[in-house]
Amino acid sequence: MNFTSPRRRFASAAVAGLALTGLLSACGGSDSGDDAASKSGPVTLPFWGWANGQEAVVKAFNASHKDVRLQYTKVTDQLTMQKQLTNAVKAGNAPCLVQNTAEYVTSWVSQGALADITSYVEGEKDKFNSGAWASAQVQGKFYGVPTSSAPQFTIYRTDIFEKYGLKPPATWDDVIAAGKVLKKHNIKITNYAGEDPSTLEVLAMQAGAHWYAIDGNAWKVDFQDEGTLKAAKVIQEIIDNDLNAKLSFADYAAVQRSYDSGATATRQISTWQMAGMVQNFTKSFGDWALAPWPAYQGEAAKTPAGTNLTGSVTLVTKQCKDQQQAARAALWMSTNQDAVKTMASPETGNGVMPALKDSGSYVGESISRKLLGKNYEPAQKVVTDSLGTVTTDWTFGPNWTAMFTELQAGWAKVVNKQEKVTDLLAHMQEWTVKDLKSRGISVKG
Amino acid sequence: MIRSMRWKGAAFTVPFQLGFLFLYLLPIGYAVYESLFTQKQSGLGLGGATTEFVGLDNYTQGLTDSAFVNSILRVVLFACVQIPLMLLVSLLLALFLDALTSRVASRFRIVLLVPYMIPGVVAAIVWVNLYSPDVGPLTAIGKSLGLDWNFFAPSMVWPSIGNLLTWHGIGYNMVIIYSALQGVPRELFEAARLDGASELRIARSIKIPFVRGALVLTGLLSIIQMLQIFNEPALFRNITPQTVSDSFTPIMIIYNQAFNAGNYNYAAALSVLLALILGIASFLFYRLTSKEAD
Repeated sequence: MNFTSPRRRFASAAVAGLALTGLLSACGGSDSGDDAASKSGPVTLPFWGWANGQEAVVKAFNASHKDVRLQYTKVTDQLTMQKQLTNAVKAGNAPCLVQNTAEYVTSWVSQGALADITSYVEGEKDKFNSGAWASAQVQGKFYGVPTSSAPQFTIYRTDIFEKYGLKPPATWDDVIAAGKVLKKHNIKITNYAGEDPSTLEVLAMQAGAHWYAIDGNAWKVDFQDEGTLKAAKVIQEIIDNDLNAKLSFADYAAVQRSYDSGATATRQISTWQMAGMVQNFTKSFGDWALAPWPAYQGEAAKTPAGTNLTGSVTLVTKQCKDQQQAARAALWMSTNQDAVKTMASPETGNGVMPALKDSGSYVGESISRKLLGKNYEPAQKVVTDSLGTVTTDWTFGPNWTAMFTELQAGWAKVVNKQEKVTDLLAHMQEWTVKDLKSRGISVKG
Repeated sequence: MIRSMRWKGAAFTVPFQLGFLFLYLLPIGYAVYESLFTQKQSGLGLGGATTEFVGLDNYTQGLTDSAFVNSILRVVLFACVQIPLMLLVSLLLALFLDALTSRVASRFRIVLLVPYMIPGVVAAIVWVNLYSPDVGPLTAIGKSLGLDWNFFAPSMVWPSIGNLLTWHGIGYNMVIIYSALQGVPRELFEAARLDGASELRIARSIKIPFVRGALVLTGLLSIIQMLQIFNEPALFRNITPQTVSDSFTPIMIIYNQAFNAGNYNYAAALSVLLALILGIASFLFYRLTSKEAD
């Protein structure tokens, strides 16, 4: 055995100890270099997102800009983003730009995380379509730039509908009627995943509900207005008659198989969900067609505002030191033709529709010819038309994230017939008012 | 001379002490500090929040929060069933391995450890796919045996999770018990055999009493792990959200409060409470089991 001297060992132990401290302090001080950077040389703006294609867009941005550089970090998904951004904001080193979904914007504003960039972006309003433009603002102030818009429609199995002599449903009543016919043949009209109450949210939105509204200096909460009750009636009828499948998205393969095998005949979706269908289907290619989003009986066409990927925005954080450059970079990503094209394609991006006013030219790229077969051409018009009917007056509340989690718990009970939609709504009314009050927020209702 | 030697000795622990301080004590201290405050908003709540000192309010709220208390009771009840079962299987496997020659045993040991090498979330996803009534093979297997089981049914949540955890934990616990068995003086077995003891009797009267320490250790680790269970129920929540609520286990509540509800301070208080409860439970368990050994 060949031991080194005690003195040497002490020295190496001390060095190891020092190295560890160095490592730890390096973790804490990542933002110290930013000041110097803004004075000389290009400004570096960290950008977090999860969408496919952003990497290529950032590369193109950096190639065409000398004074500003984007530094891209890919995050797994919206949920991970919520968690990591919460931590970063808390630690005081939030990235300048973050991808997010429209429904969370108010929550972030409420936590004081976002920068008001109205003065940098309001001049660009005319470039965007109204539905998308509405998604990046809270109370008239802009905190980001919309990146996608929300075409929504019904996708249905033409072979099944023809076989049973059904027409594509134009109204929610038609959906229920068709569902009752299909039920006799053991086919479900739609799928309600127990963990996903967005069906209730979007149907209420379409019916003109306002769960949250601003009334003077207080929030008005109403989960039981006329619109919501109208939506509740449709959903309750579908559930009571067992017209819906109850597959969880956690069992994703089973969900896709149920569409592919014809066990479930319709879906209300946006363009991006088609990618998952194309990737997982084996036999039903060409059997699908698009129809407009079902209307309420006797009402004009109206589609819900985007949730999930269809309502994406690029937000600018308050902790960002170069908010103006960040706002400009966000605008570039949403309006530069090549950048938009990259994101709109299901191959290079994620098949989302751009937020631009003249999005019509991207429709062809964002839907799948393989899935729709001979119905591909008429489908384009359905998508384009739906862009003009998006709800623009819906407001997401300041405790949306917490509220949605509570809604999820109850929705599962509704889908499993343990309670009625109206019971859930009464609970949500009470819960939301109480939660807002406990946060110190003024609320009426 | 001796004094300086002592300091030199202590210096070797500097890396550990620093790690302990920065990665352990400071975060705990920070959590305790955070747990004494709350975020208050005003007006429309769009102007950010102010931080207010509230003393122990978060703790009293936590202790009277029926969802939190119920989640702990729920997990404890489950632990009382799953942990003894898992340890029993691990013990039997370890005894079995111990009876084999060491070359054969080492092969088995690796195979039995494979589930433990798989990250928890991955294991949960694998099992969700196996369990799936639509695409999983277990439903078909059940049918061919005349069993109509549905692992996603609300009443099957705990058995399904328990099976997953047992599958995942057996190998690890077995290895600890097995290495304890290896430490039993072999002469004892010979003496016992000379006295006419059967292999079963040797296992019961010599081997098991000798590995009591290892059983206490694995039991303790399992209890700690169980109270912190998160991945598996979180995944099963997607499948039967009406049964697995967002406050199903203590960590799920804490996660939900921190990342969904944005109540960082309350989440910090609940974390501290959970740590205290775990500490007390571990202490009691250790006291009770080691007293018997004396």
